[in-house]
Amino acid sequence: MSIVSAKYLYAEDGVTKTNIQLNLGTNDDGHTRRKHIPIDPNRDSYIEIMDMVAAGELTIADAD
Amino acid sequence: MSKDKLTDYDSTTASNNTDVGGISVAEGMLPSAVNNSIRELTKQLGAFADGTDGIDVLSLADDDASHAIKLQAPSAVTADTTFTLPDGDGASGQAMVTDGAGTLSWAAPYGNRNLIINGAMQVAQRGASVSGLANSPAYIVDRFSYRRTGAWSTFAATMSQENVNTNGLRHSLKLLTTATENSSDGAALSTALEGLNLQSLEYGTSNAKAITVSFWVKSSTTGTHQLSVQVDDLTNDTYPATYTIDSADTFEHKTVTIPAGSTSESIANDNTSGLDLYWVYSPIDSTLTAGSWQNTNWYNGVSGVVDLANVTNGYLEITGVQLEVGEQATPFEHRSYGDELARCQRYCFAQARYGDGNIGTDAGGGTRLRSARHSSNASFVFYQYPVMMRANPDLTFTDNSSGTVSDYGNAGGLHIYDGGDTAWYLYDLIAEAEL
Repeated sequence: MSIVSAKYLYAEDGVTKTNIQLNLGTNDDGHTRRKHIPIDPNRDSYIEIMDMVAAGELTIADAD
Repeated sequence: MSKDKLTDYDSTTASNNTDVGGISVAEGMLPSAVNNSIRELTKQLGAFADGTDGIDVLSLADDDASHAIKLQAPSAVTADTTFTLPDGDGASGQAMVTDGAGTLSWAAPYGNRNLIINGAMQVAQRGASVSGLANSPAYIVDRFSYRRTGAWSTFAATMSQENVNTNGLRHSLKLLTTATENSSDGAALSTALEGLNLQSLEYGTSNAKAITVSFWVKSSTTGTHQLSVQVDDLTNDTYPATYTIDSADTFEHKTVTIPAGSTSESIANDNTSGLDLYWVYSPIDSTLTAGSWQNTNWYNGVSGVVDLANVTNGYLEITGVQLEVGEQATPFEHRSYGDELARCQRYCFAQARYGDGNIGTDAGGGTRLRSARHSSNASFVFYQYPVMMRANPDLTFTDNSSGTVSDYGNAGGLHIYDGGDTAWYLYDLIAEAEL
């Protein structure tokens, strides 16, 4: 999985972080491949991303 | 005619029975014939008792002998068959089954007895094969994954759904070594069962039950292979078992019975992983002794088991996987494709499934999930999953959105909100809530 960028997504309250959104790149049509990972410390995919953050390989930005 | 066995006698008219084993017992018989006929009768009773001679019907009369339950053989029997009854009664609701060799035992009634989902490997929503296998877990066939641990260096493998035709099974899952490595790292094919579906094992009670795993397996390499069962909720959480591949490149049916894991510790009755099976492909060591629950891990190996990661073109291929409560393996429970797909969709839902030809492409039309306008500058895509997923899933999709995206989805459905775009769509959606 090649990650272009990452940012947090928030609940409707605008405060609670719900997901990490990964930008996985753009295809020939100019459409973006994305992955949403719910914030769950018991989830393999979330743990994998946070390991990348801890290793300095990825930075997760706040929402736009 | 000489009456040599019990079935030769007339059961309605006693006067017709004037012969016992060739000894006349007609009127005026010699006294010595009385002794001899009694001896002949006892011999015939003995032959009945040890099964040498049979009877036509076994009649079990009720108390006043007005009616009876009767057992009898078919009118024509092609070969002698001996049925051996189980030792004692079974549990409530169990049925009697045969092992195919005449030994009968109590087992869960047929139907919904296989706790494995997609054991016939027929559902593969993500595609037909994956190579490299750098990340773990990786999936091709639904509900079965490739697992690895450790810092592999050169080892590479391909996992694929194969077309087979064996014993009514048309697909299998294959793991193939494409680059070998003699390492102390672990790899396996695995499937995980949800705790909600395991409460019939009654772990944590005095009624805790054994399980029996049966499967068809084929490998490049003969010898001892390892199947590890892991229940994370237990202190002694792993049961390493072994099975033997007798002939290379040939499907063989294997059965492994695992005793109850614990009468004091239970499997959590929730949507987390309750029990995992690991067909060990490469163990990290070979220090364990098979056949007991131990505080260890699936990747710790039993002495002498095959390491397929270090075999050129080594492979392991499985199908017909069944896990049932009790100590008796029964024939594989075939389910319809639709049934299996619905079960799989609790853990993975692919909008454009493999076989539709639309994976990774914007094929337009029905493959697009289009947004509904919410306001003058916002819209959302809502899509209800076919079944309630195990948990709020990871979503992977492609979209043409240009605005800010929020995710309000849950286990019931996808709900993606775009605050800066009133008309957009997404496609090639995969929602994953695997264990």
